[in-house]
Amino acid sequence: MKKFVIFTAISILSIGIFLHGMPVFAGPASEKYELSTYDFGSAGIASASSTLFGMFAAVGSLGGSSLSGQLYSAGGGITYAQQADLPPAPTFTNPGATYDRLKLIINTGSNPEDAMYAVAISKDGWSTTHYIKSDFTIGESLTQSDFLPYSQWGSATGTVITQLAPNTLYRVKVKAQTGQFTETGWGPEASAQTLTPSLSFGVSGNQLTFDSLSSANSYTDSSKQTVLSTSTNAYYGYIIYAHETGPLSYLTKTIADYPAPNSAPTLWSGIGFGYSTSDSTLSGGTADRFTAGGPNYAGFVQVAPGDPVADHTGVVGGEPITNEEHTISYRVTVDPSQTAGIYKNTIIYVVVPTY
Amino acid sequence: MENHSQKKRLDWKYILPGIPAGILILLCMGIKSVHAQEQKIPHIIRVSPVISSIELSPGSSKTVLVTVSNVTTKPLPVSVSIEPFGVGEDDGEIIPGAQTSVPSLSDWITVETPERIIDPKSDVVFPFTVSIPTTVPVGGYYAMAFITPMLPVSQSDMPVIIPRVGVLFLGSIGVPLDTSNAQLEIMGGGLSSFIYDMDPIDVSLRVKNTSLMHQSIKPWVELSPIIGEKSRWDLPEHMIFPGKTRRFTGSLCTARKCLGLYKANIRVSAGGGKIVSKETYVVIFPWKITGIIVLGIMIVWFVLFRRKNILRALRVLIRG
Repeated sequence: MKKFVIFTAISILSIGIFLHGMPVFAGPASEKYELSTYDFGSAGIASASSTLFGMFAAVGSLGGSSLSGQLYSAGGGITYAQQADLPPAPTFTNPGATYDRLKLIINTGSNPEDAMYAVAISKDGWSTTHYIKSDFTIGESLTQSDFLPYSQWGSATGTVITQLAPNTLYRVKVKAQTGQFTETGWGPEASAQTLTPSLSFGVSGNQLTFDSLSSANSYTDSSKQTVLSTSTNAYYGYIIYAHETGPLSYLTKTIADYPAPNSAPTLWSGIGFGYSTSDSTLSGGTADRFTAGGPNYAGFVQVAPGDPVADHTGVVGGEPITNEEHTISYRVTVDPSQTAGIYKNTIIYVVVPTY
Repeated sequence: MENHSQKKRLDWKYILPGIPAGILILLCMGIKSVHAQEQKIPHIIRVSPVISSIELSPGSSKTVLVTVSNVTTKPLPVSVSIEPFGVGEDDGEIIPGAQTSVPSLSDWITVETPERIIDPKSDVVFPFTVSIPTTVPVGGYYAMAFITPMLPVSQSDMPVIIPRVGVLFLGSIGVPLDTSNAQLEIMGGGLSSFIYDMDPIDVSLRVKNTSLMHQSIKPWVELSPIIGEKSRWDLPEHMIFPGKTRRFTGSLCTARKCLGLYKANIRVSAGGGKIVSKETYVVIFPWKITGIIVLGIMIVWFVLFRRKNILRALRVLIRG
C-alpha cells in the first residue's frame, strides 16, 4: 500500500514537471510571437485604452465617443451589436395650432415591443438640452424613470408635451434601450413650433331694433337675436359674459329686467326685458338651463362683467376653435300702460380665455 | 329576340327625356345646398397674444406688446382699459373685474395711448408697460386688459351691443416662472374604494396650489392589479392660481378588468417631473360578469354532480 502511494505521488510529480516545461499555445502564435490571451475585455482598463479608444472590460466594446465625428459615428464591439435600434426621427406636430403644447409620436424603427424610449428637447438649437419627463413636461435631467415604453408614449396616437413656451420652435430627438448596456445615442431630430395665443370675436350686429310694441303683437317682441362668433387657440376655451349698463330707458321711464337670474332662467311669464342663449353646455349652473324645455329667459345684470351667456370650457384637443357661434335671443314684453317712447340701453359682451 | 330589342327601345324612350329632368333636379339640389351653407358671422377684432406671462422682480419694468387686428373693411376705433380679475374656487372660473388681491397687477400697468383707430384689415400694437414698485411681496399678480372696438352706431335711439375681448396678464414678481417652487396638495376625492361596475369609473379630486405662483396642473390615475400591467388615464389639465383649490374630474374608461384588488395611484404634476402622489386601494367587483360566471359554475356543478336528481325531477315534472 505504502509503495503504491509513493509510486502515484512520483508519477503525478513527473507529469507535472513534464507539462510545466511544455510551451502552452493558449492563443494564436507564430515563431516570433504568441498572443497569450484573446479574451473579450481585459480587466486592466488602463492598459486597454489609448487616446483614441478605450476597451470596456465588461463586454469589450470600443468607446463610441472617440469614433465619431460631425458626420458619422462608428460603433464597435459587442455592446454595439447589443444596442437597441437607433430610433428614426419622431413625428412632432402642432395639430391644434396651440401655444403651449406639441404632439409627439415616437417612431420605433426596428426596435422590439419592450424597447424603452427617452426624448431630448431643445428650444435653442441644442445649445441647451432638456428632457421630456415621465409626466410629459420638460425637465432638466434625464433619469431612468423617463425611459418609457412605446405604449406609454401613446403608441401610434402619440402624446402631448405640455407647458411649452409660446411662439417657440422646439426640436426633439429620441434614444432607445432594450435593457442594460443597450442604450443608443440620440436619433435624428424633428421640430415643431408653438404659436401665439390669439382670440377673434365678432357680433352679428351692434344695434337691436325691436318692433313697435302694441296690442297687435301683444306688446311683445321675441324675434331679435345677436349671434356671437369666437375663434381661438386657447387650449381651455373661452367664456362670454354679458351685462347691461342699465335697464331699457326712455327719459325717466324704464322697462324692468326680467326677474329670473342667469343661474335659474324660466319660461317667459309676465313682463320685462330678458334674454336666452342657445348654449346648452353653459357654465355657472345646470348646463342646459336655458335650452331644456325652453327657451328659458333671464334678465341682464348691470354689474360688470355680468353672467355667462356662452362658453367653450372643455379642453380643446385637436383643431382650434374656429367661428364657434352662439345665439342670444332677446324678449321684451311690456304692460299696455307702459309709457310710449323709444327705450334704449347698452349690452356688453365680454369674451375672455379660460384657464 | 324581337321582343327584347323592342323592350330596349322602350327603355331608351323613357330614359332620354329623363336625363334633362335629372340634371334639372341635380342643379336645384346644388342650389339648395349652396343656400343651406350658413353664412358665418364675421369677426371684428383679433387679439394676440390673449394670454401673457410676465416675469419681473420688484423695482423693474417691462413692456408687453399686444397686437390688435381690425378684420373688418372699415376703420375701427379701439379703446383699452385695465382691470384686475378674480378666480373662482373649485371651478377656476376667471371673473373679470373682481379684485382678489391687493395690490393687483392692474395697478402697475399703463398704456400710453389707450385709444387708437385701426385701418381696415390692419394691425395696431398696444405696448403695455408693467412697472413694479420696489417694495412688494413676491408672488403671483394678475390683471386683465379689455380691448373694446367702438363700432359705429347708425341710430342713437336703439339698444347698443358692444363686444369686448379680455387679455390675461399672468405676472410673476420675484418668483421664477417655472415649477421649481411648485407646492401642491391633494385635498381629497379620488376614486371610490369599492367599484361594482366597470365602465366608466368616475374620478374626482381636489388639488390646492399652496405655492406663490399659478401652476398648470396635470393629473392622472394609475391603476395596478396585484399581478399584471398598470393602466394610466390622464385627466384634463388646468391652471390653479395661488392659494386656490381646483376640482379635477374625469372618467376612467377601462378595458375589461377582473375582479380583484387594485392599487390606485393618483398623481398630480406641476411639470418638470415635480409630482405629488396619493396612493389608495380599490376593490373592483364587476357584479354582472361575476354573477354570470358564478351562475355558469353552479350550472356545470349541478349537471356534473346532481345530474340524477335533475333527471328525476324532470321525469316527475313531465310524467306527474
